[in-house]
Amino acid sequence: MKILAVCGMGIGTSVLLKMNAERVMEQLDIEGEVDATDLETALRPDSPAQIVLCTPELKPQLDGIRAEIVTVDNVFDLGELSQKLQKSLL
Amino acid sequence: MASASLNDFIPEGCIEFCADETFLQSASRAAELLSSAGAASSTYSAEVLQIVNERGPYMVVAPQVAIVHGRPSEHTFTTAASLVISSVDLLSGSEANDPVRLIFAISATSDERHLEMLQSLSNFLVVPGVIRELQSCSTVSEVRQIISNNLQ
Repeated sequence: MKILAVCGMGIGTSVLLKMNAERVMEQLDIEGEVDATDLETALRPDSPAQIVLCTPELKPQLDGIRAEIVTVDNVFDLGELSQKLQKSLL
Repeated sequence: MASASLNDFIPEGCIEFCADETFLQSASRAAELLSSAGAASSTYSAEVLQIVNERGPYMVVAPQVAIVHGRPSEHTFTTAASLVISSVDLLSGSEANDPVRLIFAISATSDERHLEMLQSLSNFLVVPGVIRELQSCSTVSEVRQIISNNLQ
């Protein structure tokens, strides 16, 4: 399972998303790779991601992407991340 | 997990209480603190505002919390963070997380140290209740104390 955590620059919000998604996936015993990246990279046609994680305000800017978009309101709420990742991954 | 404390990444003078009226003013102030501390160039706040204006408030990452930054470039000198605690509700346009009360600005240099800083920030902000605790502070030393008391 290839997951991309996405934000404007690929160095702030997306890294926090990646860290906490990995933390939750470990707790849930889900195998998968999470990379943090910027919008432009995520939107490349050859992007291998099956799931894209982002905050709600970025969703319209990911219009047209083939991956499933999962928006996370609170990046530090491991319960929210856990619930949403389980829904998409299990 | 043992890791560096967020306090280690916040230079002296980089925590401030403010009552600016708008989200952009406060975000700009947080970035200016990094410039004043020598962690970023004097143009850093303009870069930060440009990203907010271009991309919208996606960096409002939790209820009441924004983490703003510029592009990694020659304008960032050290990996550091600053914090502005607002006494007024700031409207960023984030549907899920407004109003904003805490704005962290970060500057990044080397990848490894940047990741350490984000990890320490995340380890702190995942602790339930800390966002409310920070808002109840009235001195910088109280803020430092809450940060050092809450490391997950």
